[in-house]
Amino acid sequence: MEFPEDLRYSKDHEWVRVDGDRATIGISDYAQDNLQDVVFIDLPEVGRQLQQGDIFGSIESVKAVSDLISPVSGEVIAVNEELPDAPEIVNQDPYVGGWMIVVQMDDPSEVEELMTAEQYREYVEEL
Amino acid sequence: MRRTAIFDLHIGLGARMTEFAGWEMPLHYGSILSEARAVRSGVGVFDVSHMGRLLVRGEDAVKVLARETVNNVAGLAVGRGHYTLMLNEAGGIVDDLVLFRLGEGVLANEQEPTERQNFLLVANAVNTHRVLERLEKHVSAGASAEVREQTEVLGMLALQGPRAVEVLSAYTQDGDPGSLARFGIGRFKVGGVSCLVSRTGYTGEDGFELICEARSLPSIWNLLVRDGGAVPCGLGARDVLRIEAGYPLYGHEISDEITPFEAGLGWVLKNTEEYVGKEALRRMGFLSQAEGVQAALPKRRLVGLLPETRSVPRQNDAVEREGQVVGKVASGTFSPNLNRSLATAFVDAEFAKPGEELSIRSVGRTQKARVSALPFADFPAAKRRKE
Repeated sequence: MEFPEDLRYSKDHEWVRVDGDRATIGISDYAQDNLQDVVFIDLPEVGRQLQQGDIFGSIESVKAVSDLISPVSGEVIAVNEELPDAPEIVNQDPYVGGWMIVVQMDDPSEVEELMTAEQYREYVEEL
Repeated sequence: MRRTAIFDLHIGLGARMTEFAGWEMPLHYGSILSEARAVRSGVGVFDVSHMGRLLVRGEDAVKVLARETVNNVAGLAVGRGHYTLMLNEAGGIVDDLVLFRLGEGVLANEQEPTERQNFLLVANAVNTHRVLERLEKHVSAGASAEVREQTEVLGMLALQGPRAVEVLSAYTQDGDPGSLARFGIGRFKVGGVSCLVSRTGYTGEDGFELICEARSLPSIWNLLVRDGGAVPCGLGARDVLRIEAGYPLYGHEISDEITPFEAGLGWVLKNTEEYVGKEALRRMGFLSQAEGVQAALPKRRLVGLLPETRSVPRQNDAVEREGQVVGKVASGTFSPNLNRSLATAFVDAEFAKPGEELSIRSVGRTQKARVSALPFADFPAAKRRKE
């Protein structure tokens, strides 16, 4: 299972790629592997204000529904429009093609609370 | 948890295991959706050894089964099977079953004496003990028949898909299983192993179910998977395929509180004898005086629903019409073959017509859904199950 070093990870299995005060968010390889066969993704509208820990959408596989939980606070400034029609991208390419939203962060220091790749790897190994 | 004779092979293939009715079974080997596609486009193989296998034999076997199950047992020929139900006294469904009449040459064990009244009953894993209990109780009340559970000593595989005949025929030494009619059963040597082979399944595709001694199961599985190229399929794909084909699952479309007529299974009640549950159905007006003919119509009916989005409806989601609850979801899935989500639901009879516009209220979302007939598509074997 891959956990790229340049990303930070939440306990809810979202990843964050930071570029200045912008955060691109998706779900980890561990999360997609657990869900398997993603068939439906519900994402927010651009402009939505999120607090850290807010549910920003949902993701469904054949067997289960999971909430998508924002690891940071801020405004949604972009949404991956390809995912609703091709949700399998999340299984095939969780870290690049499978990105979900971009958030303009209110407080970029929130990222520091998230796990590094190494910490996240240890975290999922204990699950 | 109970394990089948090929548990280790599943693990070796990378299966994600799940608990089902006390058994540790493969849920999938990587992707439920690609396994479900493989069965409709090629051939897949399922370990279904968790299903209950009961042998019923003796001079009163027909009598016992005609009291305990609802299809025309007396009319079942040797070498044939039929879909049937066991009901409770209230007319609810205890289990749905496939009953085979074995006989000369198709005994479960070749060493045993040949008897004409010799049946194999295949039950759902979750209900096997209840079906066994009912039959044993009947037998102990004085019938000349014997009921033996063979679930542990026999293993069972389902080989399903348009290529099933080609693959099985290639490894059958003493005859052509492709010559079996739908619901026919015979004994064949597959890869040198003596198997009961029936032209049955739970996918809506053509295919076979194979029963052999549990210790021979690994070699047959490997033959079909490694040499035959059959795609290993788990319970996840099995559920997708049975929903696409409109087949009921106990605990969803059928249960002790659901009558055959509500579940669209009135056609199964061909037994003219006085079976358990018949009196209750008669009192409810479901059987006319002539009997066997449906008179009153049930207030709720099982239908298919075509949701507007790819979001998957889940069991017990409310089905609504203009904000009023008119039913609830029995099963939901995403169909890779129809590329859309699907659901089955019990709805008030007045809204059960195909084309009716309803909505499904799931956690966090309500979406429109159109009533559809079952099965959802004209799969090769889906309609022929009724024969």
